[in-house]
Amino acid sequence: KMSKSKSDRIVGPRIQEEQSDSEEEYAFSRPSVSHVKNLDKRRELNAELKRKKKALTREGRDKRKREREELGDDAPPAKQPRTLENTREQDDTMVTPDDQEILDDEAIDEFASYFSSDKPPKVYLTTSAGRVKKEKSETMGFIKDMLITIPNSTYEERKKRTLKDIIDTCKAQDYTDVMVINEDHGRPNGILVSHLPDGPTCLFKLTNITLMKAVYNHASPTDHRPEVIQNNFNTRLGHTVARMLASLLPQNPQFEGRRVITFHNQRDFIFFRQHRYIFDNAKKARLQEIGPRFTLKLKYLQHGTFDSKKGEYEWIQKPEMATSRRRFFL
Amino acid sequence: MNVVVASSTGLVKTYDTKRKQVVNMWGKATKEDEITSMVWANEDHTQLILGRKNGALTTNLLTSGSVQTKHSLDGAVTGIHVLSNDRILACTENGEIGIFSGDEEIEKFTVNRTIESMLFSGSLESGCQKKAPISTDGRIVISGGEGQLAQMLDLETKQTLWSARNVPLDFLDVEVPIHDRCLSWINPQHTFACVTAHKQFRVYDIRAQRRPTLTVDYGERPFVRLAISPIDPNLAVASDTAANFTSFDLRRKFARIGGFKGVAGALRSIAFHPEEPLVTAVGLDRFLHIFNVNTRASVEKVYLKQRMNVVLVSPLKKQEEEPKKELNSSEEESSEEEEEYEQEIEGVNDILELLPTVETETRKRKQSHGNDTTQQKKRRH
Repeated sequence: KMSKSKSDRIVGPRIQEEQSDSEEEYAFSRPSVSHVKNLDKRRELNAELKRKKKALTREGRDKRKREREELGDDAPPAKQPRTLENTREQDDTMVTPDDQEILDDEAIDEFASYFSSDKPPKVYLTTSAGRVKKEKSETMGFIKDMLITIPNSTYEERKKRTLKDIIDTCKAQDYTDVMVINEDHGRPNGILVSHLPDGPTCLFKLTNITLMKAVYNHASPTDHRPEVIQNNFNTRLGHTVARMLASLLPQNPQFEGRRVITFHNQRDFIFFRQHRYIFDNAKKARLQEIGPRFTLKLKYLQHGTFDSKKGEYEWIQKPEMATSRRRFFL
Repeated sequence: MNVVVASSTGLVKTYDTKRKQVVNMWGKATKEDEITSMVWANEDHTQLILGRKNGALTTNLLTSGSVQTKHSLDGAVTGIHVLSNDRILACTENGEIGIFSGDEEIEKFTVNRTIESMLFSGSLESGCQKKAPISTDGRIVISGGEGQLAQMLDLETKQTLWSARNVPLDFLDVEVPIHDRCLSWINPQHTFACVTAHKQFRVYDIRAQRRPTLTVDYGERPFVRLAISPIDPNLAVASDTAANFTSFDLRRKFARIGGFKGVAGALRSIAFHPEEPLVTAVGLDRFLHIFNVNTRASVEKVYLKQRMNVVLVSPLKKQEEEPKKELNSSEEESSEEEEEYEQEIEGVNDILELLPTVETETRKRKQSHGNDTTQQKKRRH
């Protein structure tokens, strides 16, 4: 009898409230049943609470739906679920499109020459020293795909050369970028991109690689210069990284090739995708993935060309910066 | 206080910590005119002396940025010092040293070395070496460049009065690499500290010997900048290339006291507040960081959009408080001095509220500083 009255006490008053945010109140101040020692009874109470909550939510949802139908355009806007993206911690470095200072800054930064001229990028690919040499090397598979994906790129074996020497040689041969695919235990796990004249160097963690041939029903790649889409690079650091990635690919796309490369940033992970698209009509387009697929995460952005000893870092990932789940840097 | 920041694109911004906004900005965004060095031209902080990457040395008004005097040197200007009689001493990366007065160039000479950091020593009372003449003119300590050690030059005779010597070969009989990045006086007469790009901290005493009197290896990254607190000569802060900003105790041989958190990029310039226990730092992460030196708490972190090379601090002046004073009743004119002092304290209240106030005083200090303290004056350090 004691428990019965308790359960009544818990549940009763809240149900009677007819306000629209009662379900929220209920959700946040869900009564505790931890004082009940008996497991069976506790389970019963919990199940009942859950049922009540579900009924409330359902009630609220139906009510809002009815409201929307009745009022039409006048109805209050639909509630959006809270996600990590839309509850992101406010970042002072977010770039607004009309910020003249940032525009001036970008007009003279290391990538300005790429964006202002027609000179196509020339990318040099290599691996980390001592790559595992085997038949079906994942690294080589990835590199072959990258050679197809990035126009005007060449690969050379690392052969115990230091990165600094490689960079000097590439500068002399007019390369614009050096990309080093880092390998660990036979698998590619990082990309170091160094923009050449005196550009910054980025180290990305490379994960979730799916090679072209492994993409189900993939389209065949072509030589056309691709269109480039970059999503969600909103902060100042994000802008620099986006410019860095964009400068790997040539500027004037060949639209007849219908080839598009996407760098999509979400929660500091950059997703690379390559698609072929076709418009059925003016409004509808279909996509077919060409591949490869991979994910990048920025580890550091170093000022100047690669110099692990004396290079100064503009941004370096540190554990102390992971202050909350809702804090992102790109 | 006002914090003046010079960006790597040639802009100079003034940030007011009281109003918490950038109150002034001038300069044109360029690549060649990167400001590499900046000092106050005068005591009331109304003029700046800027040194640029292309060797241009200008005196500018703080408010408008208009150029008062202009000179040019060979190479990026890495050190500027204001001498008596409004003369400017400047040195460049390529080893050129110049002394200017107004629009005139008094002297220019070149030393055959890289200069990344320069310290000015006023007249010395005693010579540093047996052979060195006792001179009342200026001497400078210069250092920088891979493999190049510090040396002290006499400005008048251009002779090397003292030069450093590297530490002995290490246990493998290999020469210890040296690349001084930043020098800082511990005692402006004879002792200076330097941090190197090979993770070392060194102290040199010119009176004692050529080799460093203290060498400490610290950290995993090359140092970028060192600064020693003007209030507490035992407190040093240093930044390194990997965004670590740490405070050190010089009494305990450069022992780490603790790190300052929230820094994402290498800090290229550090400036202490002359009176308060605050330190400001700017660098490649595009933020102005203001920390409390004692608690290492972040007082402020301001996004300033460009990568920055130099920071200068200008404490709040009494003149700025006068408009406030006019609002007060005239009765208080009797204890005017007290009033002014009170308002000076009020002026920095919002920052000081965050700082701990230390009210301990020793008898010795009281005696040495005399009796000019009012009741409200609390000793802060």
